[in-house]
Amino acid sequence: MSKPKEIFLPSLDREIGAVHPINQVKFELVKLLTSFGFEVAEGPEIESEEYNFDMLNIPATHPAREMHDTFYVDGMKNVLRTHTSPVQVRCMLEKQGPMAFISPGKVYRKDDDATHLPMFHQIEGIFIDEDVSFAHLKDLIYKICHSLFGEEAKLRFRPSYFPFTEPSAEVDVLFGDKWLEILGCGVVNPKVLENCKVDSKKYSGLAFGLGIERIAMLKYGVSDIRDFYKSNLDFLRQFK
Amino acid sequence: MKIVYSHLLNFLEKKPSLEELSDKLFQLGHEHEIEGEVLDLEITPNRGDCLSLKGVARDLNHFYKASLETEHYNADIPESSLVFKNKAEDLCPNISFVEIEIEGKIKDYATYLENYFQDLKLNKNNLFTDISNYLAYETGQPTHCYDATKIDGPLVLEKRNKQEKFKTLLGSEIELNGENLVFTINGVAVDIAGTMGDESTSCNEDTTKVLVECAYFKPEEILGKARQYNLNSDASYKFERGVDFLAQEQVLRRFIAVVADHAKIKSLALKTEQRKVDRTEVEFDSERLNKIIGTELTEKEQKKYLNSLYFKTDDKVEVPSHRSDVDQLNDLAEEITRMIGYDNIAPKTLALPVKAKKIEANFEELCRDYLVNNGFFEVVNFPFNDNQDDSAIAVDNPLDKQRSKMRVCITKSIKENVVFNQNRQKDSIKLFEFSDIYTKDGNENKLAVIVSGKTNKNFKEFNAQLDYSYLKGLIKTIFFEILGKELNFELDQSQNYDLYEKVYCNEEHIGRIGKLSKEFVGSKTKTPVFSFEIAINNLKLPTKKQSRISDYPASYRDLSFSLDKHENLEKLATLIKKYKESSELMVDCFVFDLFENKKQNLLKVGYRFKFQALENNITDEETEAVMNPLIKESLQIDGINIEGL
Repeated sequence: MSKPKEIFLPSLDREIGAVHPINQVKFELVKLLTSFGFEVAEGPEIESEEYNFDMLNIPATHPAREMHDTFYVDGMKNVLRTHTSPVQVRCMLEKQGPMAFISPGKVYRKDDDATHLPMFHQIEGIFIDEDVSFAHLKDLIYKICHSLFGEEAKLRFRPSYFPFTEPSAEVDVLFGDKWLEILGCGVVNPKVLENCKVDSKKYSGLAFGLGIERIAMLKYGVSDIRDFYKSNLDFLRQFK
Repeated sequence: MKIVYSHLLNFLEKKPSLEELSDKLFQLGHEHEIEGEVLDLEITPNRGDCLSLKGVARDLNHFYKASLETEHYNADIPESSLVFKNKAEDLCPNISFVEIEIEGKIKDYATYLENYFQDLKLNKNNLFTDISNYLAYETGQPTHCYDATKIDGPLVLEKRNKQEKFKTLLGSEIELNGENLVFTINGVAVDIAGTMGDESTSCNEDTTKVLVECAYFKPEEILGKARQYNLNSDASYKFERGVDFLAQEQVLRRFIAVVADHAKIKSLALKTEQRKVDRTEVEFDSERLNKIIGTELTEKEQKKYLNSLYFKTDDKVEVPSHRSDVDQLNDLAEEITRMIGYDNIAPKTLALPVKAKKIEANFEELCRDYLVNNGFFEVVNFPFNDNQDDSAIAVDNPLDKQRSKMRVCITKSIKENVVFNQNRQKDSIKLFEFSDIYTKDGNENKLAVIVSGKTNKNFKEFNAQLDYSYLKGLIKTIFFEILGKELNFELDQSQNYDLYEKVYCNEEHIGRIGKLSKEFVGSKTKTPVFSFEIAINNLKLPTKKQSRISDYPASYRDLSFSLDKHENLEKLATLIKKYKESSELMVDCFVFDLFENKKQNLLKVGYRFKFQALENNITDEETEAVMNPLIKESLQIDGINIEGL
């Protein structure tokens, strides 16, 4: 039997597009963390200094304030948020008792070179309950990292400094023979809880924050962070 | 901060290998890189106490037993006759001065001093300045050396607001302005406190009589001064992060001892002011400490760790004067955890008792899926540009002039994305971006879509160009299919558009759609660019309700309308829409054919109408009852004919 002529015609291929790789990673992280029980909370990108710094135990005179190198707007009255932690402040002020929130979004630092961008994405999480400890935090971080990088991923916890957590840690994951910093975390500083009207004698909390570009670079093997923001179709086409 | 491995070993009883030491420093939170024997430490901003050999050794005490004893001048020193007026006691509660006069030849530098310069490849200046620099390295406490013979009046410490020129001891000229804490002589600033001294009173190789000042300044008073005046100051770096508030006299006694190693001391005089003496105390709570860390350590074990870091423990914990970062139980928990090693704390299973809310689908998510499935690529742009819009929020400290404003729309950004890709020979560009836009009028969540070039890369659509009708169809489809809403459009004019319509949803103006002007696009290629940008705040997805469906056969009618002008198409579409909405039997209608005869100035539009009844086979009479008045009314529109009638 001869073949019908239709099968010799070229197929009518139509290209599909792609979600931006940073958003792909962001959505994956949101999906993962909401499956753990976190709720998603969002907040404004233009923040007051009070919410961005003061409530988080970063007073005007603190060196950490310089570290952030902040963009100021509205005649120095407000800032472009340097982290998504102010969203957590708002959540704590609104809600009492046990709570678990994540806040994904854009953040800004006055930086622009080969490895730093003036805008990037973070996802931060906070969990408040009675008797939450550093050991609980470690369990959560292992779960997150093993979900992201596989059950065999090796982790290293290092002491670090964030004014809003105490103890504070940075977590490295071993890739080949190199430890790469993946996230920052810690036990929520009781001063922050008190600032946010949470009874620090009854409740404690844990918090963590991940840089989404960092995860995306590792996941997709992107070596230059600036590639994410050139909008080059040849680059974007690889993330279908 | 750079320290040399062998220098550090001098302050440790046990002598770990460089590798072992490196591991322990990581455990303690002192990230570093190693070059040969030099450890380049990145000390976190809260640990000013670790910015020295002794400071790092103190932190390693638990592991390698620190040996912090150094030679000090312990004999009584006569009171100095220096006239010093402290007008800023609250900002500088503790300060000491020693006057040292030497005579005779200065000896070669002792091994420890020589090694400091050689191993760290540092330049020497003069004996007193070199000792000052070395002691900052050894003790973490900055000192400042004045040539005592150049001090010709009372030394005053004051905070004042005076614009004045200041030549630093490194020779650079700066202008002081605003409020500054300064040491002055006869009204002239000779030292920016905690930051840098001036040239006129500085020491040189001929200096034989030095006045060494050693102070504790409140960190917030020093913060940012070096940066403000573009000075590279190790002293301010240390003061900003906090120095030991009780160490001043001890450091000066160490200074004297080092001088004595290198020259004969002719005379000494000391002056000390000490107002801040109380050490911080924290209530000791063993149970709470274990709860913070998640361990079951005994009180004895906890205290052992704290004692190893020079905390005195009883019912209360007395914080050593070099630890300005510790004032609460969580700080002590961190210290204990560091000593145990973060990696040695066993994880405890965490089950969040908080029930996760179901994440509802939203417009943005569904719209993103729709666009991606139709070949669109999502982009993310920075929100800065140099637009002149009155509503734009200005960045007070922008990276540069081109990025001095917050963008007021997305279109300008994605237009530039199109140009970028056109310049790289991309002939089919379909992009979109979701973003919050912040203006003086408030913030809006927006979606912008832009198209240019070929519709698709296949043999049927390659020659079809992305155009206005494609984009208009896209936005209408998105709103109808996702939200069940019809959009309305109103022709208008706008500066950057050749063709421009306002977009309305529920009679609310939500955005714009149009063909961008060539000047605005600014591309080398001639391919037209079309875009829409709409606000998507508060777009709620409709509750889905199922309608009954019919199993009876449908009946179709096709009509080919001939129009002599494009405007009539809108009138015709409005008329057909009216009939569709009023008839339960007309379940669908759409344009299935469109042909434009430019020579005859004719537009031919083929409409298909579908009729179907729920309870019975549709009859011709029922169909004609809808179609006949529709035909009659359409023919009343001037310039419309129906072929075959």
